[in-house]
Amino acid sequence: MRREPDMKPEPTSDEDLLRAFAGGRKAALAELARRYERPLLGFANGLLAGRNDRVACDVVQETWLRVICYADSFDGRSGFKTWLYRIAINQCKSVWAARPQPVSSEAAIAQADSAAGPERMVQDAELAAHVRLAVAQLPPEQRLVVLLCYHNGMTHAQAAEILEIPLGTLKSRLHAALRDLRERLSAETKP
Amino acid sequence: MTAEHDEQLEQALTKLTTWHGPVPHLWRRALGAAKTKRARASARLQWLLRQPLSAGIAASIIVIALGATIAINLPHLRMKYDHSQAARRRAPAASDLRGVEAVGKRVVEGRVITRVPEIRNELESLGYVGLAECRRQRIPRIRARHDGVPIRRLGGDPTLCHRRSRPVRVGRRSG
Repeated sequence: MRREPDMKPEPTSDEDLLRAFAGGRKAALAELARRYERPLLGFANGLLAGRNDRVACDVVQETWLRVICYADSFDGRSGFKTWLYRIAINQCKSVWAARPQPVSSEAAIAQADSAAGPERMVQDAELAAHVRLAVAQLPPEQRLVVLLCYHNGMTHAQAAEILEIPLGTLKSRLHAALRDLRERLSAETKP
Repeated sequence: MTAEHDEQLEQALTKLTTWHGPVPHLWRRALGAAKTKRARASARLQWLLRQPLSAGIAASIIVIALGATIAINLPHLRMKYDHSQAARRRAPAASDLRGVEAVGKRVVEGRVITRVPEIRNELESLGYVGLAECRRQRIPRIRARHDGVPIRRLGGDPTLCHRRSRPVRVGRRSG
């Protein structure tokens, strides 16, 4: 059966969508945003712990702006997801550099309380606040690794590709970060 | 910490990078910002082009660009030139021994390059002698045979070294 020209299948891969956007289709960017905007916001929010949600929004908006501006120059050497997260991480690093803001435990707990819904248990909220605080106190490389590895079903291989480090390095950093977190949390939760 | 604590930690870490609020569609704002950025850049360029000094600035830019290009390429060109000169110095006969015929023509016309030993040897093997030798021994300058045929018969005149005449192509047999 002959297929009509307007019945062409929609491009499904991220890279196809980006190419379609570079070719002038705004709907392709909308589809990419539908796939990635929420995870990106969560990741940026986790990475910029202790700051206002607005900062995370700014970072994600700036990330999209860069995607729009440089869609033509995307060479496909890495996947779109890798490229997107690299941009977001660089934006977060810029924020770290421009506005270094140590997280206080009160601010972290207040943020956790504001995020907690009525269904969430207080204990969970407290633990989340402590974890947020402990993560924010990690060295930047370990913080990036631990957040990326526990983000939205990201595999270790994907995280290593995004961070441009060998898989072994990623695993050793993750191990060190988790050990550090456990120590901090056990010290904090001790009476 | 226990395994239960580890699980709680992992859950907390996962929740740490999860967005709970509504999605603000930041890509739309980014699209608008990109459009504004482009429009601003275009307006700036147009403003620049409208300026009376823009022609002068453009000319200066071109001159600077040309100068930079030459400055960048000059060492490369110089190196190429030096290499070619060195090659010529190393192999002087290479350009002059392109063919015995051409050399022979020059010999017959009395313009022998006798300072180049390779040419001299080549010519002597063909039976040519230098002008000084010619005068000293009182012999015709072209005395030997070429390919078994006397040069004289080839249409050449053995006294050509003294008297300029129609040049003879050595090695070409006439009818």
